[in-house]
Amino acid sequence: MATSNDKIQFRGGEEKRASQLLSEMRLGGINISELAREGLKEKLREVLSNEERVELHQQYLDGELNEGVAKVLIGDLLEDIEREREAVGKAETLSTEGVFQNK
Amino acid sequence: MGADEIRHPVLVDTDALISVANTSLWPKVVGNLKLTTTNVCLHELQRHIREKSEYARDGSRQKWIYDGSVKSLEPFENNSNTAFTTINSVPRPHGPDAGEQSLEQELEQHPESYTFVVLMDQRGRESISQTFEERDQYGVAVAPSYLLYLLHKNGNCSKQEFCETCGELLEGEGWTNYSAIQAIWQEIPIDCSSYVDENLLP
Repeated sequence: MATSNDKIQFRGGEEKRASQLLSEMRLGGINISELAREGLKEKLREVLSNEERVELHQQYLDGELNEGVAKVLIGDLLEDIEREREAVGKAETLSTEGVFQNK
Repeated sequence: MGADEIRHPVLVDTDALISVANTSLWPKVVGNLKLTTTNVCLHELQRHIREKSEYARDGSRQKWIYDGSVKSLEPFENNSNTAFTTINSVPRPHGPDAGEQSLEQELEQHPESYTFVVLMDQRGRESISQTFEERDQYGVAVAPSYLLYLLHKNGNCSKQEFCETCGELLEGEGWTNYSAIQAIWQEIPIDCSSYVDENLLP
């Protein structure tokens, strides 16, 4: 549930006027909060280095990182690992006939 | 060129070869596995050797690609080594993703020949897995780290060697295959925590 503690505030005069302008142009306006949340999530993921992603994942594995926060920052990495697990799981069911020189 | 038109069940692309050839388990890969690649991938390796320098700075990406390409080529260029074979791609794909495309084309033409297709690029793996689903259910695209796991599975390397070499892969590739290696560790499951240097994890 949203509380006043969940609020993010930042300065952005031009951005505010640009959002308002677009909102006025559209019937029903635009959901600026939703756009800001999605945009921030996208940017946070974009600026993370590979090393930081790995570090965050290690914290997540150690139970030091809240799941919701982990999803925001490295949700795509968690999905990648799930997909890779499926591939490894399938690979494990397949025959290795012809794979090794000594067999 | 290696013996043509022998298709082993493991098909490997350029970048996957370079990444594994740069690990200390490469000699065991050469001594124990049977791999097939395409002439397009071999040409990419040869191009890397021409364009990158032997004298590039140690630890640089250039040097890593150069060294990996030299080591990868050796067993494929050894005519008497039938464990490492090359297939000619017809028609021949061109462009920056030609190597990867040549694998996809080869799989489309001979889906029944392959069980494991090894690619570095994750999107490439998704695309190959899709092809497997459409053409022949019996096969899957895997990351380079799976080759190391195959060695371990066949008793060609110890758990310690496998774990430490996963660490080498992670370092060498700038963490590109972190998700794939995590997946093996979690899915098999293999506990590498006592072998992988704490410093390897940031």
